[in-house]
Amino acid sequence: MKTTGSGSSVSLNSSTANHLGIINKNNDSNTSKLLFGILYSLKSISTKLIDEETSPISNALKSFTLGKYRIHYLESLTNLKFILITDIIIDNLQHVLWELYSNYYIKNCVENSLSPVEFKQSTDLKEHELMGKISNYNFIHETDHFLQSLSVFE
Amino acid sequence: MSKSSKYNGDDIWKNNVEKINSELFTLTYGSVVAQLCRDFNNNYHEVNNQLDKMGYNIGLRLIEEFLAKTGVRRCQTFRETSEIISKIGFKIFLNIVPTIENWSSDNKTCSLILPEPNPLTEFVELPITTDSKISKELWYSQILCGVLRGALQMVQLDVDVNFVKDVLRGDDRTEIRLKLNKVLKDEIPAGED
Repeated sequence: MKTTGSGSSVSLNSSTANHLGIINKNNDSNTSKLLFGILYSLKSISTKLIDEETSPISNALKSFTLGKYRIHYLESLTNLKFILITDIIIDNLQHVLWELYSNYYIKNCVENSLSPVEFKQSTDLKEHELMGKISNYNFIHETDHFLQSLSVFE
Repeated sequence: MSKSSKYNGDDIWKNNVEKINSELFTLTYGSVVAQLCRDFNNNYHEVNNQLDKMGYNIGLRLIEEFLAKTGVRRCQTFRETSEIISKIGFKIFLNIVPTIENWSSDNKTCSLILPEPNPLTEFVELPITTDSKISKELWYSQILCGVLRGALQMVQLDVDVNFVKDVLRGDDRTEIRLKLNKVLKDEIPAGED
């Protein structure tokens, strides 16, 4: 049995209004780790705020807003995390995140047998303690293209 | 009402999945198994292992396609999970709906009964005359166990999957046993503090 567990991965796409045309620029910076930490904490708080016995659907974090920007978040059941950072005037981008997962991720990573679907960055991570990012070129390229074509991207 | 009724396996199977000729599928799988038997000199335990490993790697990817096509939400109980596996998972990928029975009292173990004909074993006969071991040791459809194990692991369910009966071996039905070991926790990655 392999010791690697389910892939938990962070795909960071930043498109703040100040940096027109620059997407995926924060994928390699340390801010992505900070963002991961914030999201992890918020997620665990939000799941505790609901009574799982009585509620049919567990709580899910979708977005949160800070002073100058809003963070949109979607996590697949396989622990893939899709994150978009936008201006605060942008309201709901769940459908965009779902599109990234159900179309672009599936097409470029899952159906490409040469592209890994587990995103381990270092080998000393234990099982289910994975953090990595989707580094498939086509995926990044096409998400850039897709996001720039949206009406919310100005 | 069961949860799987919210999602319609029929519709997804009809409109939303790519299909191939089932005979081509059956024969291709048959040649894979036959080749493995040759490669491992009829060591059927090893063939089972290899099929399981192949299935596992398929499962890791298949689950993403499954989630993207169905939009299924997280199941609250293992009973729900088994319903989804049977009525949606098997339906959209193999167009069969196995029945679920033999629940253990703690709701962690159950059996999937594959309906006949099993799409993997149509036209298949084990060559008992030349090799008597084969019907005792080879689990011909073992790849399905690997697929289930891989797919469920990706949604944080650690499950043991194995065959207990196979019509090919002369049993009365084809039965896969599922055993939930634990629900894996989402943990903070090490060294990210």
